[in-house]
Formats: sequence, C-alpha cells, structure tokens
Amino acid sequence: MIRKIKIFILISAVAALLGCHSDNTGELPRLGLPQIINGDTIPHSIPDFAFMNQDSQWVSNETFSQAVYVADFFFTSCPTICPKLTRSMLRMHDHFEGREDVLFLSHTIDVRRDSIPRLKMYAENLGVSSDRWHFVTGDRDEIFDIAEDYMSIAIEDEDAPGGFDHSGWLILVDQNRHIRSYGDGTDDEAVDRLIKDMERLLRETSPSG
Amino acid sequence: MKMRTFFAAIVVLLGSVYVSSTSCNYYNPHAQGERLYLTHCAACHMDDGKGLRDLIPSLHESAFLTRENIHFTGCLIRYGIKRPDPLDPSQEIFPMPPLPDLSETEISNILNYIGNHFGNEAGYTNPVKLRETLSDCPNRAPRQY
Ligand code: HEC
Repeated sequence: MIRKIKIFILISAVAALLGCHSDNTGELPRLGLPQIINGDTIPHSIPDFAFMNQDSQWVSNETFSQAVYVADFFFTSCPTICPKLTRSMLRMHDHFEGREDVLFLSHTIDVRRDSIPRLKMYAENLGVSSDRWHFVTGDRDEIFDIAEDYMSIAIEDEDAPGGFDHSGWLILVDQNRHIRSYGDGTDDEAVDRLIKDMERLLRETSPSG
Repeated sequence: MKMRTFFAAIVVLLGSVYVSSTSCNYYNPHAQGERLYLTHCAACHMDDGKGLRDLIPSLHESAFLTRENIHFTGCLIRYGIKRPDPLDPSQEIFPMPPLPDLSETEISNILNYIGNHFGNEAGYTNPVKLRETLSDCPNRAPRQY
C-alpha cells in the first residue's frame, strides 16, 4: 500500500515535471523532487548503489562519475515493451558510438531468472559490451527502490505479462547524479528528443566536445 | 480550341492518375493481419519487422515466410517456439510465446500480411491446408534453421 502511494506521488511528480520539458534554451533542468537541507534546495540525485554487471564486475556511482548515462529497467524474458526499450537504448548507444563519456545502464527487475550468464548472453546477442553498456543485477529490493529514484516503476505483479510491471522510461543522468531528461523508450520521437538532450548535456558538461 | 481540349484532357488524365494512386494506397488487403501483427508480434519483431540483432529474428525475406513454409509458420504463431534453455538445457523456455486464442482466420490473416510484406512473397494461405497443418503441428518447433 505504501509502495502504491509512493508510486502515485512519483507519477504525479513526473506529470508535473512534463511541463518543464519544452524549454529549449539554457541548461537542462534537474528533475525529480528536490530536498531541502538546512534551508538549501538540493536537486534530487541518484543515491549510492552497487550492482553487478554481465561480466561480474561491480558497477556503482563511481563507474559513472566521468560520464553521462542512460538508465532503464527491463528483464530478458519480457514479452511486452522491453524489446522496444532495448532497441531505443541501442539506437542511442550506436548514435554515441566511440564516446566513452556516454554510458548505458540497464537494470533487470527479474533478479531470480536474469542471472549474470543470462545478462551476458543478452548483451552478446545485442552485440554490445560492458565497455559502454552495463546490464546489472543485484538485490531485488534495492533495484525496486532505486527505480523510484529514477522516477520509474518496477514492481512484481502476477497479472502483468511476464510477471512484472514496469515503466518504459529512459532516464538521462549527468556526472553529478542528477536526472536531466527522460523519455518514453517505446516512442521513437521521444528517443530522438532524448538524443538531442544528451547532446545538449554533453555540450554543457564539456563545451569542447 | 484544340489547345483547350488538349489541356482539359491532360487535367483529366492527371486527376485520374492521382485518384487511382491514392485509392490504391488506401486499399489495404491486409488490414486485419496488419492490426493483429501490430498487437501480437510487433512488440518483439518491431513494426518494421526487423527484429533486434541476434535477440529477435528479422522477418524480412524469411525462410519461414515462403510459399512452401508459410502454413507451418501458423504452428509457430499458435504454439509459440519452445526451446531448451541454452543456459540450463534441463529447462524449457519460450523465446516466442504461444497465442492459443487466435482463430484460424486470424492466424491466416497474420500470415497473409507478413507473408506478403517485408520482402516476402509467400502468396496467400490456403484455408484447408492451414487447418490440416494446424491440426498436426509438431509439439516443438524444429531447431534446424
Ligand atoms: C516475446 C517476443 C515475441 C513475440 C511477441 C513474437 N515473437 Fe516471433 N520470435 C521471437 C523470437 C525470440 C524468435 C526466435 C526464436 C528461436 O528461434 O529461438 C521468433 C521467431 C519467429 C519466427 C521464425 C523466424 C526465424 O527466422 O527464426 C517467425 C516467423 C515469427 N517469430 C513470427 C511471429 C509472429 C507472426 C508473431 C505474432 C503472432 C510473433 N512472432 C510474436 C519472439 C517473439
């Protein structure tokens, strides 16, 4: 029940933020519910995490401290939106080919079935490697919880196809753990826009590149 | 006067070319098949039929969508594709899920759509042959392809 309420709040927050999005000048906004600490407004940031990737390497915030990254939530046996999400991630991955400061992070939400060898097989069948794209697994609740920090939804639901219900957002995060943009990974136009936002973010963070 | 008739004739000609071209585009013989494809298959094989690298096969110029094999592909749609799990051969997985609730007509419409799109030239399914094939599907799709 608490989770449901949290999710409702998250959805409302996302809906409220949709309004900020059309602004095309200046810096990209820092999205999410800000925190007020000692009277200062601190933008929402991704908390500490540590998950294991397809090559059994630990992946943490440190992995992304020099890079902007796109995060999503998926599972390998997902019969509904995942192939399209993955295709969109792949399109972004290929678009930024050769840029080591653009990384990708896909969290499985089916930690029971998506073992490391299964994630490895998935990545290989996609033709991508952990140089740029991490497929991670870890503690189930930690993954479900961090999904909320990415303004996403990941829950187990017997009635959903494949046993999980999840949102199809692709989330763009900067070097300082702030969410700077997001888009519906099943919508090609939203992904085009996300690529533009990524380019904008890269100009902002490294004006020469 | 002659000139006028000539121009009028050109205008009528262009007009009719235009009307026939738009009406030809408009006429879609596979409307239901396309709709069913978008509902049941496109999540994996994608709207453009191109699949996803080595995860999901492309349906373009597919060996399953030829005149010889098109009816058998009905079995794949109805019963899905079942395989031993490559990581644990004692288990079976469905890389492609079964769709037991689709009627023969619906299966046939899907086949006629994909069999004549994406560069395939399978022609049309034969209802009698489709029924025979569907009543005698191997319980597991063959692996040799
Ligand atoms: C959940 C994802 C998924 C859905 C939905 C799906 N497929 Fe598939 N399909 C696959 C995968 C994965 C394979 C490859 C299976 C294998 O060979 O191991 C495949 C294989 C096929 C093949 C054989 C092609 C080849 O070259 O191996 C055909 C034909 C096909 N699918 C048609 C369809 C049709 C028609 C639909 C809709 C009625 C459909 N599929 C729905 C995932 C899916």
